[in-house]
Amino acid sequence: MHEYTDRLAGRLVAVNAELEQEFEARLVESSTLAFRIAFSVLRHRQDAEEVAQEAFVKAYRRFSQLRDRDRFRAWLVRMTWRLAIDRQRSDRRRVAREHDQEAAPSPTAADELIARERAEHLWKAIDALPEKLRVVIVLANMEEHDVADVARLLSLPTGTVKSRLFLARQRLKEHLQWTR
Amino acid sequence: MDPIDGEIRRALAVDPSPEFLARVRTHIASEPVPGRRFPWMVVAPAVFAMALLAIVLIVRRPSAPAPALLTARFPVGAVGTMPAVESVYARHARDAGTRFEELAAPKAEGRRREPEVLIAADEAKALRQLILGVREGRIDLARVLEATPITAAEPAPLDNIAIPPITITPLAGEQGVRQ
Repeated sequence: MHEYTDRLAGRLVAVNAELEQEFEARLVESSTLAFRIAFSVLRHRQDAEEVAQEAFVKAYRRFSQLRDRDRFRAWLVRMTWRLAIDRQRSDRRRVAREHDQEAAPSPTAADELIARERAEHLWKAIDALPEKLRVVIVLANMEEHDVADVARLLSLPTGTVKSRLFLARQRLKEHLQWTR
Repeated sequence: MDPIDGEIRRALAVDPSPEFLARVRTHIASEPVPGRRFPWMVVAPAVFAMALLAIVLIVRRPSAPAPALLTARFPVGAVGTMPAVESVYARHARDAGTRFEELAAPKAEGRRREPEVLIAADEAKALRQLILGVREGRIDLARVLEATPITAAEPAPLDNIAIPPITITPLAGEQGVRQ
């Protein structure tokens, strides 16, 4: 009896260690993805990190159902996006937004100012997009994702992703031409 | 690549801080280990079956026997009317071509739900011993009855009962007269 319980306990420890190793691999692989998704909505580094962290904690709690890599990433993308949107809605009073600080450093203050203005226009245009177009254009420009990757992440048909990408680009161009 | 995509990529080229991963790991370390859970498709039917079994056992459990039940403890032969009832049932059952047990079973079920007649254990034991003693001839009830004859109280003769006549006295004054 003791031998059986010892073997069972040993097996459980092994299973838990295996699960934790798998999760660690997913965490390292997907941390930037989750952060950037949150950042694309919130554009505030600290908020984006908090949201991504919350998404990872939720993923960890459900990891026994999310062991498949594609399934994990798709779930993480959707969860992070949803959490970021919720945070944005509950934090409308925030005035100062951190803009793209990681872009190539500008040689002069004037260049930096121009780059900031361009980025601001771009984000305004992205924010003006409907949510279903916004998530597609953001994901398509992240981590070398192609149309098939975006379709898999959002559980959408490839044709739908293509048409949404086309529409999103068209609206962004219109918006940017109008504001420049 | 579309120029707009290039702009978006540059805008999105932001990395989390170096402490981000460490913070996530620390936070996750305080979480319980996500073990394998039994799928509900297996657990739910098992719980349902257990509940059903428990209900069946509770419903079919026989009631605890009382210390002395008149119906259970007394031998059927000791009650004078029971054999007659039995023979009536048996005759009906024979006429109808059914077995006696099948006919009697619903009656027994019905009786079980009625409140049971309880007799104190010592009284029941004494009564059983008395009946057994009479059967075996150890006790002679005739002598007992002769020794203590039943004496009923003599009723009083009807002629001696005096019943006074009923008299109604008229009401004084004008009370009761309608105005």
